[in-house]
Amino acid sequence: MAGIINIGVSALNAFKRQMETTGHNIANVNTEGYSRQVVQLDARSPQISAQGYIGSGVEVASIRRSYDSYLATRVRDYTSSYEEFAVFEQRARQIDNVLADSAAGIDDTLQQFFASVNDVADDPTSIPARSVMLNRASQLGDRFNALDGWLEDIRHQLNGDLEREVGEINALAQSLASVNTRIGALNGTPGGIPGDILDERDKLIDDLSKFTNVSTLEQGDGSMNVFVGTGQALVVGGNYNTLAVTNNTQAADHKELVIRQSGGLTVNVTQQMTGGSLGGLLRFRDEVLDESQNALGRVAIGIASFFNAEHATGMDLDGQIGGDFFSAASPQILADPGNSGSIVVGFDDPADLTTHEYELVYTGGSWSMTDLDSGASVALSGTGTALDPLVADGMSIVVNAASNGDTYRLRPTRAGASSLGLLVTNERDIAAAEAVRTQDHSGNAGTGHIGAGAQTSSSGTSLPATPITLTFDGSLNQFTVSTGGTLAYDPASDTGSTLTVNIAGLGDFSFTMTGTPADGDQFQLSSNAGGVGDNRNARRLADLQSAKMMIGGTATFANTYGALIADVGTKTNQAAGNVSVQSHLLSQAEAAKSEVSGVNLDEEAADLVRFQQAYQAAAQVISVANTLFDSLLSAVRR
Amino acid sequence: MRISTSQFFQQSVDAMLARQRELSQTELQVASGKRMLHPSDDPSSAVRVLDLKESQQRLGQYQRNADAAYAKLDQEETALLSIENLLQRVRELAVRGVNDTLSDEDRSAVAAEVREHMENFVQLANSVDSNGEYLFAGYQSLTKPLTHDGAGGFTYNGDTGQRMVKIGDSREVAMNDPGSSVFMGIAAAAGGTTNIGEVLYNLASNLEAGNGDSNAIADIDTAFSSLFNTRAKIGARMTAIDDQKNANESFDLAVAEVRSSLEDLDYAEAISRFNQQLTALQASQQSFLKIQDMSLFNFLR
Repeated sequence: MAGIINIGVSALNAFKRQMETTGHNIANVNTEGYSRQVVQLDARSPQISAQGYIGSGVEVASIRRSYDSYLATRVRDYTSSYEEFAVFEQRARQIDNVLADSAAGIDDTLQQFFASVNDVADDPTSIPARSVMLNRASQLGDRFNALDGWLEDIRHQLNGDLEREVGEINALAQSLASVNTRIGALNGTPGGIPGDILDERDKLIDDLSKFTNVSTLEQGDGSMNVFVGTGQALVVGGNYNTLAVTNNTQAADHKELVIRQSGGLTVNVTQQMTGGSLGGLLRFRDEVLDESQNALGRVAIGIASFFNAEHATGMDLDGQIGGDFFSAASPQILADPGNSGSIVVGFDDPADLTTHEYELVYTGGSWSMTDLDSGASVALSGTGTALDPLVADGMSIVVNAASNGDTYRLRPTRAGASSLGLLVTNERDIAAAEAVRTQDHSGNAGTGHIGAGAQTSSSGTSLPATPITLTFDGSLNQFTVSTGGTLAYDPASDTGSTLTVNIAGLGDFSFTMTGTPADGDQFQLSSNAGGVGDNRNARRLADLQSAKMMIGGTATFANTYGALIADVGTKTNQAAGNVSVQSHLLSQAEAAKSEVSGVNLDEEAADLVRFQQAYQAAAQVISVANTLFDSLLSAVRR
Repeated sequence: MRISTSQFFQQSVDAMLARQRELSQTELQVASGKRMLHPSDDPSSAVRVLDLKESQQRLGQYQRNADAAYAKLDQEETALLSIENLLQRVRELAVRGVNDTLSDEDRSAVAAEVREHMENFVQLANSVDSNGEYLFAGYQSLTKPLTHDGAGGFTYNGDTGQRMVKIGDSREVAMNDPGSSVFMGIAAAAGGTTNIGEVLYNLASNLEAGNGDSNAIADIDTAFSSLFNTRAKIGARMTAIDDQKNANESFDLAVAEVRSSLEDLDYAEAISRFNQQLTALQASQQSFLKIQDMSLFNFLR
């Protein structure tokens, strides 16, 4: 009798526990990270009797959570990849949207500027046309400045995001360490480690996987060691290391990540923090943001350099040689604090500029340069003196002093876009005319004729109004230059060729010479002052729009800007493709995990019915035992 | 396969959000008429569109340059035509002047008219355009090109510069002719060179002195042919400008077509896609509603 009651009671307890667990499952149907729990029942040990073993009811063996660590790891891996691409795409899209926008991008303003240069070429004496050109030029500068400022804002925001994410990772690491401690303490106790605490731990690791790649190693006591990035220990048992954001030694605006270990050791892990939103942010910065800002700067520097060079060979309305038209910053030199030498970096040929950053190091008496984006070493020509500077990738480097170990980070074009500005303020100072005027002397006897001249290099001082004469010496086949020197010209073979004469202190002048001059014939070069209707230099300036001068002489200014749009567009497009693939993989992995761990309300409802019925049956067993007992008592009472 | 309830909800919601995203993308395309909303939608086409836009802008610039050149040449032609008419009249006077029957009074009256025409000629040679630039001064366009010292000395103060403008990718035209080649350096019948002003001045002086001037007639004829040559060149340039403008226009049309094929939306396709996506969204919403209503708990009462 007592046996029946005991069996009944054991069943009631067991089924009640099952119903409680079902209720717990239903209660947590919307709890993130919750794993469905299942009560495992065992038949109690039977009791021996003369007839054999008699069953003695049921007992709760354990309450286990349905959890598959392999599936959980997969979800974390895909979460990290998904977050990385999603953050990358979202940030890159910001830039993508703006670059081709006609209200914010460069191309429309660039076209308008060159249209205004063309209008000056059509009508070089018109002050209104010149005034429009200055306005357009200043608008162009403003647009570059604004776009660069906007990229700088994105960088600022990104640096703030790095701090915030590192803070969140540290908070998670701290929580994980404390959960590990609790798990370690519960290990070996009679109830074992509750599934809900394990869920809490796994949920923390899931959360961590949104920020960075995560790998785990479960310890004997049930605690979990957690590694981030490519394997940096974050949590070991009850201890954790903290991540921190620091400045790059040379570039304060370039943030890096370090792990501070409990022993006080600090390790730079910027390259190792892959995956997750943190990895996405770092990759966006290195692949899109830096590149875009440098590429924009390259366009600005190209425009300023080539426009200034051409402008300096022309003459303005007042007979002055054209001055610098645009301003643009020189390459950024970021010196290591430990340096004791110093260098000066300028531009060699803007056509050779890249969008990369470089590291320049002085070791063992020689300089070496590394492209920080590709990691390749860059060949340096020259010796580094002012007359023979070190030249590489469009930069020329003059070394003032060097000592072993000096390290510089060079950003040739970073400051280009923010510094582009207009230097000419007076409309009359636009050098639309050619600087030089050529003339055959009226008394010449031969058939020699000097063609239109051009100034090919300038010291900034114009030719004098009194002509410089070239007098032909028929016996030596050469011209004697009135300012000194000679210039060879053989009428038999050189007719139609371009001759260039250097006039000390003024620059180089070139012109074509045709025919056969008689001995003593004179040809004149003089300042083109008063040639206000001359548009030759304005036309050359306007022609810069379609001249392929950039990227090694293969691209126009607009092409160079187009390359930036294509680069950002392609990267955004690729990231968007990856996001959709990763989100598909992630939802599959989540489905697979929830197939094991998730709560299905219909299933729980069916279970509830099943357990209720079993409970009712067990109660019936007790009721039967009661009836038997009553029968026995009433038999005895008689 | 078990499906967890929250996963089921999440998946349904995700599916609806995805449909909505597609729909909104199509809606934006339809609203803007553009196939590409951002360069990342099709990076290579986006960059081609930039190139094409620049081509169009350049073609537009050529048209503006051509218009400016045409206007200037038109003014120049008008001035030259006036000078030709003037010389025509002077030639008649010169012919009359060599007539021996002419009285001295008549000769001096003719001389006075020639002098009048000479003054006129100097004015025409110093014609300015609407911007106040001298038409025949070469590059020295703000310097009065022809000055007369009052005693038959005519000086050209300009230079030989010809302002060129670009009216096509490989086509440039001159928009002026320097006075040095139009009025000066005329081969004189008496040998050497002379200029139109000098011819007129000498004619008047000779008539006043009671002499006919047969050299003047020959010189005027030479000047005529110089002027006529220049006008022929101007006419040829104006025709070239017209031709080039037409060529630019058809090129612009071709570029616009390519650009449109790259960036403009195929409305028929987009509208049918829009309807399809709308149906898909409605279907996923309705099926979600139907399924979420089904629960075993509804039957446990």
